[in-house]
Amino acid sequence: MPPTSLQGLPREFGGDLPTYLDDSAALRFWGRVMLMSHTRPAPIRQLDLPNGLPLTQYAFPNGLSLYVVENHTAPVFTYETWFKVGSKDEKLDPALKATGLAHLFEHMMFRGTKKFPDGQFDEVLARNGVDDENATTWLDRTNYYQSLPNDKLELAVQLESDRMVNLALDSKLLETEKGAVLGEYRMGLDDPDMVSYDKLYEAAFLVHPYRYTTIGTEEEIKSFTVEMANYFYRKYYAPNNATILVVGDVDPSQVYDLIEKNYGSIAAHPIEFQEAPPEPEQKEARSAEFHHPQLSQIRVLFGYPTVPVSDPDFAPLWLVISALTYGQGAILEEDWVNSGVAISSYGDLNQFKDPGLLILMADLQSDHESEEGIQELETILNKVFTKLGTLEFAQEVIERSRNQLLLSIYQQCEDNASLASLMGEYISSVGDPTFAFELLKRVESATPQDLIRVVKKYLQPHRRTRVIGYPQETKDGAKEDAKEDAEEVEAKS
Amino acid sequence: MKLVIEPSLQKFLTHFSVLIHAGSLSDPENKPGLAYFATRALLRGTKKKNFHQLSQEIEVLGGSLALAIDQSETLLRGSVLTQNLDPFLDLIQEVLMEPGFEPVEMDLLKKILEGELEQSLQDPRTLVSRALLQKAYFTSPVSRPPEGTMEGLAQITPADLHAWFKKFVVSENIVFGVTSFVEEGDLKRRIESRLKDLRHGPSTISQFPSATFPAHRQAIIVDREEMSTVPLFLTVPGISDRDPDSLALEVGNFVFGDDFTARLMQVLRAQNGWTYGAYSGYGQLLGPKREAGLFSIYLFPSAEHVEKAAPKTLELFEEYVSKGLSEDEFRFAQEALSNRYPFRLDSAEKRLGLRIREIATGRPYQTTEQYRARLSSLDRNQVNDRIAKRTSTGNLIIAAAGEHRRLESVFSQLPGMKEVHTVEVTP
Repeated sequence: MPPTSLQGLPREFGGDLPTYLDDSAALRFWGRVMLMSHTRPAPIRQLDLPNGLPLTQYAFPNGLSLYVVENHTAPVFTYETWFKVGSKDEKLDPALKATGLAHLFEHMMFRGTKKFPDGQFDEVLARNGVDDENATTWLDRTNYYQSLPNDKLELAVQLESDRMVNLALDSKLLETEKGAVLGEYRMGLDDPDMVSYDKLYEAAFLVHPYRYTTIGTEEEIKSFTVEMANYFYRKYYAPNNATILVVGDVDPSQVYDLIEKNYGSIAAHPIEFQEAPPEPEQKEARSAEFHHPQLSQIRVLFGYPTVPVSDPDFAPLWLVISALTYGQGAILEEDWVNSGVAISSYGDLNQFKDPGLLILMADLQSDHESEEGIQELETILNKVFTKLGTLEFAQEVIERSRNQLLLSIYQQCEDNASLASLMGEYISSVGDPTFAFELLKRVESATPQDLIRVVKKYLQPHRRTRVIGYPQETKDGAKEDAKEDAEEVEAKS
Repeated sequence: MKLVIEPSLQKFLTHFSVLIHAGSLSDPENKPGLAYFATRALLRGTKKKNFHQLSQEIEVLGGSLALAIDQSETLLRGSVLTQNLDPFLDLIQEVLMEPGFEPVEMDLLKKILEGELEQSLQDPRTLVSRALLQKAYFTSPVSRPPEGTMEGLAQITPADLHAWFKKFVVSENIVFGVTSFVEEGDLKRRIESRLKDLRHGPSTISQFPSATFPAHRQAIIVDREEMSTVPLFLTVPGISDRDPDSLALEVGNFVFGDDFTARLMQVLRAQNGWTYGAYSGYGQLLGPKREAGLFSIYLFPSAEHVEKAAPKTLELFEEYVSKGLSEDEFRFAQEALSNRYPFRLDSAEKRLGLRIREIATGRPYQTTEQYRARLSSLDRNQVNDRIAKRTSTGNLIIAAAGEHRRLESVFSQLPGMKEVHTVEVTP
């Protein structure tokens, strides 16, 4: 008789499981324990995540990695495949030296194999109840994901393993897909937010390929051929460059068996990655500007080079960005927005494999749209950094900052897809999706002294890149004057 | 006050959704934006705490409170680390019962809201939807954005805020939704003990007005230079959220434009590469309502493809309404929607949202079994009949942003198009 309670199971089998598992889950779990001990290699790791969900990790001989997080609260699961290749890598690839193919190729992954010709992949998934099926490409990685009802696990495994090796690349389809990608590219051109970020990265990185946009340029997108797509596919889409994350109402042993059956015969091959050139230490402040027809106010962005996400300084920096911009009570909400200088404040801290940026952004209030307004914003920021460098203030803000970060992380742990995304981001950047929870520990243990140290180390005026976006068309003289005023000052400096 | 508790298995966070039956329809004619201003003002301080103190106290608990408004309702949404539930509930009590509306703070908020209004038109989709609602609802308050207008904001006084609060933030007008790991009875006691003294007053559920569509086809253009894409809506009258035909029309729309596999995406994107996206639905321009809203198609073709994409979209729409679904398409949609339904209920927050929606719009909450039973009882003829009878094509409005000469030439050549106007959208 299988046990009806899981209490007392040895820790290596995930003892102390959440008490909300129902009997059927208990039966599945017991079945897994019994089978595992006889017929399949032991998992290389089992642990309980901070939210109580058990995680099981497997490795396959062809280099494929598998992480399964059991969540039996609803009869559904999310299946994600992460490849450790992004636009940074294609730029460094001597055979490509461009960006945009990694993203265009990601689109082509939906355009058919011999077994599932063009249109079939999406149709089969839709018929079987897929909730969210898509893919994303970013600087360090590419991921594919779908959420399905719990009885469709084998289907997800079959479809994903098939397109990992059997994609049928076709020049006509490639040309059509370029049209959709160009549409996406142009949508980005119309969006001041996208353009603002692109300008900042371009100015802040001089040699590192993070300075190039993932989507590429119009010329690059148009130039890609089927041969180039095939080269990219054969080089980077291999099991030894992939990790599968399954989160939801699944049995890890069943997932293992299905993965083994469907991916087991896919051969690994060595992949030579080029190291990105390290960005030289920034010694002088930089500035750049742009004009955009859709911008209604002057926008100001500040970027500071930071550290890779794996670096011990990352967690305190994360607390700093939380202190500055997370929530209505954030420092810059108070000092930029409530002082009447800006309409909004926004912040971001890149979680990249290589050093990224800490980004701060504001749109100026109409009565501050002048060079003086921009300077005021910068002066306030300098004062804030000085203040954050004092023990008294760091002590005052750290609890709010920490709890806002915990809130945001826990929110991402609440459904399968968000949890898979949260964890998946650390596959390329750190090599371990459970780093999400290591980071959580680092956030919890960071001290006010850590905050002070990173503020003083990374947020120096000479490490700043400032980008100013101006409305292109002006309805009245004020904005035009502000722009001319600012350009004049820029020219003098 | 209606209290809705949805138990959750998530231990760390408790989530709140506080619905107030007052949206922009309740705004006085000369003060559009009052409801939005007043509810934003609730978060700008209480009688005991200024804005800084209030936001600090909320956030130090690992909490957040944010606001969303539409024409009919205002929704205050919040989350907090469950370990800090009690002090957070104290703060919600203070926000809902003792707002500050301090004049200096209100002046600052007004300035922020004015900036946000201007900022909102940077988004091309917002720009076009604003123009479209102006046209379709030109005689009613729906023609104005729920967030108000510059002119309206200027007219609002602290006395208006107090009056709004007294009238609308009353027990009978509030649905208090919560999802938590805390035991239901205990949670109920903790909430009720804090909100038992909420002021009483009549419920103010408002009637959502009908759109005023012309008897013929019209196009409106928001003139914008240097747009690389053309955000484009095609709109006709829609249905209410509780409409008995809603399931049949959901099946139809799934095939037409609610999925990547749907006709719109397949023809406009997958086959031709003219647009990155093309979707249709009943909730694109207005949220779910007790009364009929709008059905719309949204696409954003590259500017160079709008000449082909616009007429093809119209052709697809006419074909959908006149011919309906094939048997294969109908079966496909039935199977897909049936399999997909568990995702609507897969988290406590989603279930809570549906329960609150049931109260707000009258759309019944359905378990997977109930939904599947209704879905399997449909047949193709019923669905096609409902599509044809409930979807008009003669009096549609097309709205887009881009270079007006180019768009005027495209739209004036569309079959049945009687009028093409260029309109202005101002904050």
